[in-house]
Amino acid sequence: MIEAPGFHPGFFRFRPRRISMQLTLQRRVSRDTNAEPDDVRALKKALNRLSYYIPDKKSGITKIADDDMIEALKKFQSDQKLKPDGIIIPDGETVQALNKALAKQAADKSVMLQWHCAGDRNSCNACIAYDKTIVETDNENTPGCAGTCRCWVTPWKQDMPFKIYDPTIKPVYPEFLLIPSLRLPRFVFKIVKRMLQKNANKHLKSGDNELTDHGALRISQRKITRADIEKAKETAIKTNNVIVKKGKYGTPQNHYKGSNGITVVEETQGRNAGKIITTWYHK
Amino acid sequence: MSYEQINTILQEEDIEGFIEAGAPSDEYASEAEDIAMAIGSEHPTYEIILGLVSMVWKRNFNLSSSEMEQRLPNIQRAAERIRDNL
Repeated sequence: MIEAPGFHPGFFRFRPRRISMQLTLQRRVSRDTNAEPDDVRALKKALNRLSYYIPDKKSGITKIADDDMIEALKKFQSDQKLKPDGIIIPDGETVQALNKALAKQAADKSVMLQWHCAGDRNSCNACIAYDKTIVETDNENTPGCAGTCRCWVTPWKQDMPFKIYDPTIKPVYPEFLLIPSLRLPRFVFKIVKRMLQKNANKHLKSGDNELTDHGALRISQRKITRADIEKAKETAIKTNNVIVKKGKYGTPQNHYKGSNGITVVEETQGRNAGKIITTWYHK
Repeated sequence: MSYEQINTILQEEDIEGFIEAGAPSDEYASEAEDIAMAIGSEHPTYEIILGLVSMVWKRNFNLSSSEMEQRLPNIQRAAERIRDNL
């Protein structure tokens, strides 16, 4: 038996595969012998494919050589003009007849089969996805199934109900993780910005050593941050835009005219030495 | 007396000289607001208005007594104008 690769069924959605089913037995299978379990399952699958054997819906194709399988085997042998003894041996006539019939069926594109999945905990995702769908005649297993499930097929004819193959593929990155991850950078940026803003304004309040009350009120009302002040001072120094002059009452002041459009007035002597007494957006 | 009127007076008097240095016209807005709120709908005397303006100025600009003395003529003029407009 050829095993299908264990790919996820989604990969085969638009690429149906054709696998030729061939029966190969390791040991003799009959009612009174201890048959190899894998041989039993393979034989059941072959007989099922040819519609001689339809398993119980609940159990599906098992590895147990039951009466139904023997009866199906006998029926096949009878139809093939072979001795209907219910015995099959490796490379025997019955095996050859089965493989011939399977090949013939595979070549006949008019033969349509419906896939059935037991739906129990042993069923693989591929088989669950293909349940009640129409499969190609020469698919040994559903694409993606490793052949270890207990799925079976039944003949399908026009006007019979069926499902469209639409596997529920679990995305690698589910939406509920993907969308927040896309939003995360913006969210982090907002948080960081808010933190910086908070930090910037932290020291710019009334009563702060770096500011007079008037300076703090002007900064607050004009929505100027500490970062703005730092930048204004820095750029003013770099561009030599610091005007050293005396205030109206003779107190020395530095007027930093920053390239960010902000003027910072700082007193350099007296009671408010080193304090920002006011700031504004210059024209 | 309205806040706008007091703000105009303080702007014109420009006690600290910031407007002359390039500050916007709302430079003394917070001081005007404080004074307007303290006066309310009352008609205080000149002395009270002078006291109010001096108090607001001293606090907001963190001024020493000597610095207040330097500004006194301008503060007095502003107080007079406020009284006259009541």
